Amino acid sequence: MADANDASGSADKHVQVKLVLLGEAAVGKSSVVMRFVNNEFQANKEPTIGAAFLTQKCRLEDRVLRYEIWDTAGQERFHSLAPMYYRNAQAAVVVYDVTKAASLEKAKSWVKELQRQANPNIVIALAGNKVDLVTPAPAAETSFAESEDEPDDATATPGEISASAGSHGPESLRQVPKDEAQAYATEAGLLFFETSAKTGEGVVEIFTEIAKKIPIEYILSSTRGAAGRNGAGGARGTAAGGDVNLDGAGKKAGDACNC
Amino acid sequence: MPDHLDEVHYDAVVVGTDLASSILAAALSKAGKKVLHLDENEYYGGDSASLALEEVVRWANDRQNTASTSGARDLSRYLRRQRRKFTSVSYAFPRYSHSLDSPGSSSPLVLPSELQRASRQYSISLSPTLLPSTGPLIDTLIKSGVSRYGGFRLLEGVSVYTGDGVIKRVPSSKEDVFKDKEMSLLDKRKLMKFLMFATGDFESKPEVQGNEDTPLLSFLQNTFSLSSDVSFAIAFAIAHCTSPQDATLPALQRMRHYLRSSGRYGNSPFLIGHYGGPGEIAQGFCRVTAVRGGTYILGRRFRSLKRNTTSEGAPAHGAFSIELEDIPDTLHADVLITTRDYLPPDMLDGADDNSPSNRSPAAGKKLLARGIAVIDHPIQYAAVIPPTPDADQSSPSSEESTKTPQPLDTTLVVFPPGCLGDTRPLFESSVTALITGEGAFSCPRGQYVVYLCATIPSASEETLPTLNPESLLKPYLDTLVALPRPDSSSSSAPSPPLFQMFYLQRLDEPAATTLTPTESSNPHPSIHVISPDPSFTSPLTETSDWAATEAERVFRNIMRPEGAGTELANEEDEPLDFWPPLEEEEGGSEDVEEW
Ligand SMILES: Cc1cc2nc3c(=O)[nH]c(=O)nc-3n(C[C@H](O)[C@H](O)[C@H](O)COP(=O)(O)OP(=O)(O)OC[C@H]3O[C@@H](n4cnc5c(N)ncnc54)[C@H](O)[C@@H]3O)c2cc1C
Ligand SMILES: Nc1nc2c(ncn2[C@@H]2O[C@H](COP(=O)(O)OP(=O)(O)OP(=O)(O)O)[C@@H](O)[C@H]2O)c(=O)[nH]1
Ligand SMILES: [Mg+2]
Repeated sequence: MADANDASGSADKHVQVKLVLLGEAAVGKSSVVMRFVNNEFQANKEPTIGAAFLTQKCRLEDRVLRYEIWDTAGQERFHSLAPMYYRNAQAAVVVYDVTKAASLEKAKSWVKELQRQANPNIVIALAGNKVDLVTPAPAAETSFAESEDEPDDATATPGEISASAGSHGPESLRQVPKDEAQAYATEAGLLFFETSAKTGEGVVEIFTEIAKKIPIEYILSSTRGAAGRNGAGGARGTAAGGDVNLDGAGKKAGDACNC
Repeated sequence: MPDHLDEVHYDAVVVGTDLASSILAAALSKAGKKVLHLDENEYYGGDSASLALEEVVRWANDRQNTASTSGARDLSRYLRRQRRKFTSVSYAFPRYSHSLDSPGSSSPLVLPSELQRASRQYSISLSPTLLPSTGPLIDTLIKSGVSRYGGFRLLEGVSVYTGDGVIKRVPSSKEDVFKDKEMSLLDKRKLMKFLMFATGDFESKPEVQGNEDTPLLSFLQNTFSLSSDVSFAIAFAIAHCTSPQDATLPALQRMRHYLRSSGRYGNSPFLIGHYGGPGEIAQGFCRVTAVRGGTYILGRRFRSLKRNTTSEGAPAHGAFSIELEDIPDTLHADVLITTRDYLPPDMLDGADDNSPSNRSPAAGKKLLARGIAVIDHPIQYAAVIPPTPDADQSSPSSEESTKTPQPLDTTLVVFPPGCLGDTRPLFESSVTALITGEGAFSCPRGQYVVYLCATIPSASEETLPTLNPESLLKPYLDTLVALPRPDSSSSSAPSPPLFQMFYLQRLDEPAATTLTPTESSNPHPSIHVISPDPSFTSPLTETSDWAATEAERVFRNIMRPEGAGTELANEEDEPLDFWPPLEEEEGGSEDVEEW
């Protein structure tokens, strides 16, 4: 909660940032987040139900950002995503699968939807996921995976796909050329990374770059303790003084219960 | 390409995403049931939705009978019923009237381009309500974890219109009573005595005995010798009565609830939800359902909703089958939960139904006249108390005169019955004006949404055609915007609203289609009818709690281990929690990543 930190000055600004995930089913939205939050990967992850609300702090220079990450929980499947999902979101990661051309088209329609529905200042990142499937095996071992104490993650899932991919050469699985996606992202004003939730490639980078691009000073000055809420119009907050926290635990609740 | 579902069998199908239905869907999901949640509208919230301005206009167009009669045949059952529930719908853009066709023209109005661009900055509620800070809904919000999905704001003040352009702030606490400068010491003493009484356990007190059904107004004046002004303020702005006939006991109980609620989150008993309130809260509950594996399909009309009739018990594929437009699969569910808006007439018979007309036929037939206006100046009035008066400022007069009070963002103005001098019987109702600004995230900065509401008791079918919500409510809106402002510089005529809409809403089914369920036989034990509109006394303050109460009632009926509706019964014998304890599951990791 921002209000807990106002007193401490600029030394350790602690900003809550709501980040929403979007993308076609099974492109790896949840996997990317699990890599970022828990640094783990599951080879056969179930379609998302359950953990749909994760938080992760990240330190950026002099301040700590607290990502509140919202997963779609499947509500988008029949175009029934609630407006509440987009509200106050300062950042969005739109994911597609580099081995499925159609998933990029879907990603583009999500970007349009965000531009229509969400806060106009939202920072959007495009993630071309599952890049490990189209990368020669050795290159997939990124510094991120190695630096962690669970190297199993990257190696314990040798993957039938990689094996079979080997016969054709992994690049043949690729359906979305990197430069094509990059060109689209540049044109639409999005951050762009190719990622692999499996190896960790690009995952941390995407969240770091978002953090750098988020107008933190603006969020701090415009939300007096209102948990980073930002209105539909973006420039909100002067009247936000009367907001209440229903759980009533006030300032110290912030870290304990993800509220 | 049509969408396919991986799964076609569900434990329960919930039809309608109004607040009560959404709470129930979430509770069933948390209890481990597989839920399919449907709504014919493209938006969440049903009759309690929060809509963007453009959606409000579409909503109104869909409910106006201007469409050609040939089109009526194509209307869905839901929309036909909506058209009977919401009548006399009219809207206009007074500020832009010069640039548009006259509102009476047959073609539906379009939004002025300026409002079209800003459309999504509005969250306009079809069910504007105040949320008491103690009670069933707030409990449910906290226990379900949904409170963290939404934002809430304290109602900053309640005022009553006392006639002739004068408006008076109603004290929200005993401290406020002490600070009041206009009341005589004797009146203060009487009022304090009554407030002590009203916060206590009065049910068995001699003052109440035999007076349970006495109108509260006479009770206040006779038993507590309160002046007429003070009695009106108490009855309509603290106990939230809507009629001078409202009975003492329920009014006192409501009042005690609100007085005791005050202080939990601040100096007001009431909260208001961001983004239009109930519609946004409903979305939070739907998210809980989705997170627990519930499937959401909105914006599809029913091709069919049938109960499968096999001779021996429920068939393997569920008792109900549902076909939706654009969805090739037939969906099945064991239990059907729905509002009356959707239920085929032949299924209503024998359903578990708590609708007002069922509970007590005489209590039904209530009608609300509603008005919604968007204005672009605050409603400031001379007698306003600054939002947070300094507690130890004993001589506030000097301060008040030196600085203009900040406009309040979220307030309620109550017009007691007859205060505008109209004595026609239909006007024997208080009119409430709930005003929400950008702090409630309901409109752009500098603008305010004004929600007017009058409860019309026992409107007979015959008065309906003559009852015009606009002519009923417009005078109140005009009075409100014409209130003298403290900064005398802006004494010019008030500018007309950017948008205004008026309509009637009936709180029960029209007589023509209400089928009386037969109490004895229960052919459809697994149909549960949610009644989102109780025959409440105070639509403003009681509707949101009702949603939670109604959801819990149906939940317990569905889950109860024996009797009707056992399909999803809880195996264990122990009483079931409406909400299981919140788990850490949605918590995730808290590690600080360093880079
Ligand atoms: C323009 C117009 C045409 C109508 N034509 C008919 C008609 O041809 N047949 C009829 O039974 N009632 C018709 N009605 C009467 C009226 O719609 C229904 O009696 C009423 O809507 C019952 O509504 P319900 O929501 O309780 O039940 P519903 O579930 O809406 O309907 C009850 C039964 O009436 C049938 N029905 C309802 N409305 C229509 C409709 N507009 N056109 C055709 N069938 C309908 C349904 O198929 C169903 O079998 C018509 C009404 C209007 C305004
Ligand atoms: N090889 C490889 N597989 C991945 C990667 N990311 C995800 N997967 C796999 O892809 C499948 C789908 O991943 P999820 O994370 O569940 O995808 P999602 O987008 O959250 O899916 P929904 O929740 O159903 O919308 C799982 O089997 C993952 O193990 C990746 O980077 N590389
Ligand atoms: Mg997922």
